[in-house]
Amino acid sequence: MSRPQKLALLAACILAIAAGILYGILSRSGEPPRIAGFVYPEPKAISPFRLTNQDGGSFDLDALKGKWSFVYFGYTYCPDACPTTLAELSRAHKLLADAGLDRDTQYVFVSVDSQRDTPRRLAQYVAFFDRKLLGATGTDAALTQFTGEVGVAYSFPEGKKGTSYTVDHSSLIALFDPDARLHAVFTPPQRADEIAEGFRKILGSGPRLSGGTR
Amino acid sequence: MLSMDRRNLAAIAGLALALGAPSALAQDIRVVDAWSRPTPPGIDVGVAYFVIVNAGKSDRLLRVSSPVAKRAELHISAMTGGVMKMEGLNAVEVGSGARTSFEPNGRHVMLLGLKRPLKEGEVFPLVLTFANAGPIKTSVQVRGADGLRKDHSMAPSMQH
Repeated sequence: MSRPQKLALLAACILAIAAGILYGILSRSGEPPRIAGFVYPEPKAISPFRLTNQDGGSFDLDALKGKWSFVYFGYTYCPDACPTTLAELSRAHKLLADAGLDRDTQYVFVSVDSQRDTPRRLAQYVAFFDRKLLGATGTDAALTQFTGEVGVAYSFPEGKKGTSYTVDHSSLIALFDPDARLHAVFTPPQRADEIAEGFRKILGSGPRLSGGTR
Repeated sequence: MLSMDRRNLAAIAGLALALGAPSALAQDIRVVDAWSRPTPPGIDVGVAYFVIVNAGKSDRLLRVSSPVAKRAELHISAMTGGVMKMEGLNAVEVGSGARTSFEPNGRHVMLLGLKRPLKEGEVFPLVLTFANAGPIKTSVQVRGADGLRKDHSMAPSMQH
């Protein structure tokens, strides 16, 4: 092989590799968008679960289907992190509504403190923050299973008594896709504009983008 | 440490004089921008946030109290291994020349046993007791649930 031939072959190889990389980048649909938190490379399926909603009805896996669900975990006696995050989530809802992106969304507050947070109490609490906000809680076993799969940790102080204890908890907002799969997590400190922008990116990046939601 | 404090003090005094703000010297510790959130029905815990501006010597915030609640505690929300923990604080150092913020997802005052719900737009008193400066009373403005100011009128945030 002459020297020009070798060079031409080398150039061809480099071009082929470059084209391959470029094709790889362009065709890679699994590249998660960057948000204030993280997007799962592959949406994570969740086992069936059964919680109780703010009306005393069932809140289960089916309740997460057909809509994008923003789910925040906390407790109503929480003075700082929970009202702060729910206020930001409510503002994110308004931002998405203004942008016409909230038709297929729902917002859920899951209390990990079912001892104090009865459905009735939850109903009053969620309505205070956002008319569209749903509330849910459940037995310790149901909460342990669901939060465990979502990656939410919580614990009660030792020897808790009465009603004036605080609860340590992961202060995260989980985003489930309309197939009830865990799609993304917004980590604290959550800000309304970052939640809305993150959701817009997620909608724009997935194959699931349906007409009129851009 | 002492010379550092003196230098800061001199710098602040100089700055205050240069800005024509003689009142800054009259009051070493000021509590500004005190605000709270309205409380949902049935919830007897609340929160208060503020900024302590210390133009004087280092001091310590020892305790807080308010007539609207049975008890007020100094707390901090802190992320530990992805979990938000709320811990009680015995006291909070307020350094000389420092601004010490009490803000969402951080240091805050937890109000326990609220005697009535806090309503947007109302103002309630909060007394901060310092080791050296003694009690300083501030007025806490209850903002909207979203924490945003609804109007631009500043609440009187400091009085003795």
